[in-house]
Amino acid sequence: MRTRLTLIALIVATLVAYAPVRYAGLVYEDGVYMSFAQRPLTFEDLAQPRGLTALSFRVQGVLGAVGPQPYHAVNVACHLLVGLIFFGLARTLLPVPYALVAVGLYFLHPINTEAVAYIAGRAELIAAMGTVAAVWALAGPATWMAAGLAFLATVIAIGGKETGLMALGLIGLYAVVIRRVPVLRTWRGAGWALGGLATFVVLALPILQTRILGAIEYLLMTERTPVRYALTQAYAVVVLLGNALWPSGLTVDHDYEFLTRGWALVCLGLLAAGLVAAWWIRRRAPVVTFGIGWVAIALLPRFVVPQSEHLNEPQIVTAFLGLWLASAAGLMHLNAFVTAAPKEAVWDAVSPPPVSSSP
Amino acid sequence: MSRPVIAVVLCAWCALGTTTYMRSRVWQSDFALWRDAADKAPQKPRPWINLALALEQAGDLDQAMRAHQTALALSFQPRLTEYQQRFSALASETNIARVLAITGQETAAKRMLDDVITKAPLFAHARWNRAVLLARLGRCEDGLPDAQLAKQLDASFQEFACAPGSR
Repeated sequence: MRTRLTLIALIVATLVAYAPVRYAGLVYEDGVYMSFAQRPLTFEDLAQPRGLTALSFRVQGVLGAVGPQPYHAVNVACHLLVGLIFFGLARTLLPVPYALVAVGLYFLHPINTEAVAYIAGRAELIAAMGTVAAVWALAGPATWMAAGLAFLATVIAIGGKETGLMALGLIGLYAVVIRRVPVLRTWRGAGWALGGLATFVVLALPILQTRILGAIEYLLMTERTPVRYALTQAYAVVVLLGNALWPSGLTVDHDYEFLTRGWALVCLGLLAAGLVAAWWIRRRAPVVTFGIGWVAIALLPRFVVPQSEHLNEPQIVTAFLGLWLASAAGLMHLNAFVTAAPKEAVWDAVSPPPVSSSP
Repeated sequence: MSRPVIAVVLCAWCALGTTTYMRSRVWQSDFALWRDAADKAPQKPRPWINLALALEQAGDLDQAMRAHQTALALSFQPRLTEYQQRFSALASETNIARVLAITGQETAAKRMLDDVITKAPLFAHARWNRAVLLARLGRCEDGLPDAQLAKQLDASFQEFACAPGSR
């Protein structure tokens, strides 16, 4: 009962926090993305990554949505839905109060504002929805039914946005860190790993074709060397992590290009050290490891496939779900450490052995 | 969960919710969004380009011109990629030409647009603006090829037609 009330209070608080979008107009490139609402979709529109996002706009258009308000409302609803699915996953990993902490961070953190208040940010919300549902589907017993649901959720994630493909990587992370499946030591484990890898390749090929090899704009606009790109991206991640901790520098367009190579290397080193530390504590704090690993895996494509832009706020919603999980788990360990009864030295009373009554 | 931890979590939720409320207000309009972005990333051309467009929409052409000029000045920083430098400069020059045309300085606007098109013949926005400018100057037929090419390059431009009797 208390859990339900807390969840309802969090939902109400989220609605209040996003109340200003009721009066928001179309901003930046909203109009471009919403053009799908005005015209019938082709098979090509639907079959490529973000097809589901386009379909959601079209459905609203057909249902007679006029003006930006209905589109904003659906974005807020998507945000709430992601949070509720995330709660379902979090409570399989953490005690309920800490699962609520994780969901509260997701619902209320201003770093998610761009994805929610920007109509075009719906792509990231749908990707987050599919990704969390995919991992949650396999958090229970690993049956064919669960595998099918996870596959369907992954397709939904990709339908939201191409980075939804990383749901498969997160399922693998869950298997290794939380379930401790001996992936390379048993035939069954190896079979699941191979199946996952094959699914990843099959789903990745069309994305590679539509978004990179077949997209002339991509080739024209991306000209940084992979190393320089990855270094700047590391700095971007550090900046966004800083904003997650203290959200005072949130903006639609972060300026990352002012950094020196030395500072970028420091950032990359910090991230690498964080990952090593997370792996090191995987036995004692598996959910912290899982959360940090989630961030790393979800952001991996952003490091290896150069884009014309570096990371910005709407692109980290799915990745930072791992951060909220790790934060809640970290708080749980901290609380346990602080509230543990102090171990005092006690006298050892030596009692004599019982006197045998036998003759 | 101990009481102090619950108190800390509640305080954090309140603070985060309040900040989200304030960020949501920034996302209410283009002007608020890009004013905030230009304040936080003043060395980046894109916020200035978009702020200038928002100011133009609001009818504040003086401030819009200043913001376009700032964007143009920032476009030549070597830290930007070649694509970013080129796009920012072309976009800013095209926008400045448009504001010049709106404020009655058609000759200067035409010269600027000619210059942009010489540098980047396939920059659709410059082609489109030159077509509109020529139509305003009563030379609509001269602008037709520009408008057709712009539409070919970017389907989002609307249909361009000359009124009967116009040259």
